[in-house]
Amino acid sequence: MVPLAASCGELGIMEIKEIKREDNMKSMKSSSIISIIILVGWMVLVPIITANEALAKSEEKTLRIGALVAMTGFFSIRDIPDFNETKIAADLINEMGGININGQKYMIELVSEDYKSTMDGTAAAANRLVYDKKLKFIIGPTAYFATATGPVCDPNKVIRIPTWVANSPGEVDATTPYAFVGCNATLATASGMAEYLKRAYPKTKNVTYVMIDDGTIPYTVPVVKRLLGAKGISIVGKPIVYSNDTLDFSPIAAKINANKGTDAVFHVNCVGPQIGNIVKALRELGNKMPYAACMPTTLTEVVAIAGKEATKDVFVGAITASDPKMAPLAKEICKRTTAKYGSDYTLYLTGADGLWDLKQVMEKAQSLDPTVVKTTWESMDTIETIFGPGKVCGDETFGIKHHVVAHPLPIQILKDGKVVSGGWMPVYMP
Amino acid sequence: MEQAIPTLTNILVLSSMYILVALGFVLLFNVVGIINFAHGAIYMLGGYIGFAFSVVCGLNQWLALLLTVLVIASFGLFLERFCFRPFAGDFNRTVTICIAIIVILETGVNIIGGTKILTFPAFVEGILRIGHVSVSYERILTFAIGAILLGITIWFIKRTKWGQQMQAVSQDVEAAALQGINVNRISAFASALGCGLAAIAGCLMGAYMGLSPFMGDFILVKVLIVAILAGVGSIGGIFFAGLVLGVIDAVFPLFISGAASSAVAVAIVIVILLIRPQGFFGHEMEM
Repeated sequence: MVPLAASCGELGIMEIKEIKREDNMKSMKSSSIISIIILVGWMVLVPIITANEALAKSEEKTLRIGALVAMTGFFSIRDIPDFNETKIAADLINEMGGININGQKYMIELVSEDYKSTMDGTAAAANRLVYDKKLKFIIGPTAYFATATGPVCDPNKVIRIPTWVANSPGEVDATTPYAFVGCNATLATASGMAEYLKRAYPKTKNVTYVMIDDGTIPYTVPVVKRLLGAKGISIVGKPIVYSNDTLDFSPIAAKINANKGTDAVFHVNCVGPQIGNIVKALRELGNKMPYAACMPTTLTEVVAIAGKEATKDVFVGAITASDPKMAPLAKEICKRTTAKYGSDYTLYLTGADGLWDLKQVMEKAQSLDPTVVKTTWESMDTIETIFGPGKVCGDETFGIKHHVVAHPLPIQILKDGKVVSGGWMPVYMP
Repeated sequence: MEQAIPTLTNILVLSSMYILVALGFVLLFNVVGIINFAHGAIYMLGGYIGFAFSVVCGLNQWLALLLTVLVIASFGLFLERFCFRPFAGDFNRTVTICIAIIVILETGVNIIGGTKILTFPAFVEGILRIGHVSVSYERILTFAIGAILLGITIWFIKRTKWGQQMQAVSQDVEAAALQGINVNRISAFASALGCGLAAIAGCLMGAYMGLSPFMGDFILVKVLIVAILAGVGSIGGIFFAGLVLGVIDAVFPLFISGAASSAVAVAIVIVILLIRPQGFFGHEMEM
């Protein structure tokens, strides 16, 4: 039994080996055929794909847009985060296909110049962008520094979009036909903050008005007074104004505290350290009034200086990364910014918004000619800002038709020790 | 009247802050003969290094303060040896070097530390309330440290051998050298001491007001005013000059709005200098 079985087993093995060899041959043949097909397909398709890619790339052009940024000096605290966000917005726009003009795609390349937080630095940086680099569109600078760019940009028909304006002559007005504002800036922010103040603290009737002495007081105060008046709020006493080189804000806090008969503090045109130090000194004096800081400065900065306890009832006009009601584009920029720079990074988004507005106007104009873009912007009534639906307005206040955009204002508050969104307020900008 | 007591505390705190920073500046000026325009930037650097020790490394803030003083004092030694000593007596080059140091330090901190507002953890917390008066312990501490350090510095200069050697160098370098005083060693020590004092002020102010890469720019103007008002060669005069500037800065904003208060304050300084060109306690200096 055993030998038979063994011989049978040997025969079986031979047969199996033969069958396996045949199978191997077959599978080798079929895999060779498949490989040849793939190889041929690859050889045919790859040039087609790469040719298409190359063709698509050759169709893309670069649009160089200037960015006036305070990289150095005291204002860099505000400008560097904003510029970092603008760069992220430019990348996002490029990923979305860039700016499409008559079927031609333009990828944005930001060309930055440091204006060194000085007026002469601003003029010099604007000259470099306009005369040396021949750029036709500029984002920035911020606030009153914009006045130094008008004499360079307007005669050369260069469109500039300051990242903030405070309403002083020469920022954006009848003398600056090529200047546009893409974000809320001082006045529209003040109107939205007044709305929140009234909703959150309905008994508020009188406020102490505080602002930095940046030369815009005669132009800002009457408008803010009117905007507050529209909400039934009055300014008590003279505006309390502090110098830009103020080291200790205790005297300012003492002055605010001594301004009797007020229900809240209304702080216009300010940066985080100023708000934080005034709030800290004010709370030390036992003053616990609501404090409206009309700037997109993050409350985190105020908490860092004044502490959580003191920051109760303080609110700012800033966007919050965790806000579920944020518009998708703003959400994406915030997501990328916080991923890159940290969760408590200041989110201004004013430069990003200016860039986004410019893209839309260019595409509507279907032109890169600054004069055509200017005329198109002036003809628009609405625009989709990254903060949501925006209205092109400000004719009465700025003395120029449709050069200013107003959009819903994000509010940031401190709740249960955490910086959270306080909702979105409508703004009013006549 | 209601504002009187808060204003009085503001005067004391502001004065002590100015005195603390000006002390280091004046030491360098008197002994090394350098108008260190980078003193504000060194003060800022002190605050940031203190922050790094206390927050990033998690050390106790008093230990962080001590380590910061050591680091910045060492930096002062470096500055004296490689930036100031080679150009001693050459005003133009010294000013250029100081400006370069300011730009390097401010830009460096701006890039490394970022633009985010940082604060050195408070040394003491809480508010002292007596009747209608309320002052934070932080402000009291700032004043106390300023006053104590001023006292120690004056004692050190007047009563110790090293201090007397510093005085000798500040009066006449050549005569001091002929007396066997190692001028370079005294200059290096004065630079280290001056920078160390700036570091203490930077940490205290960093806890009180927050840190910014450009915080030194604002304090430098005040320091220059205090030093000039005190008078060349006067350490004790700093106390008086700091108090005068503290009064001006704490009282004027109550009555004069905005930048005008700063302008009036500086105008008063000009008037004082017209009446007493040598400052309150200084001697006439030959340039």
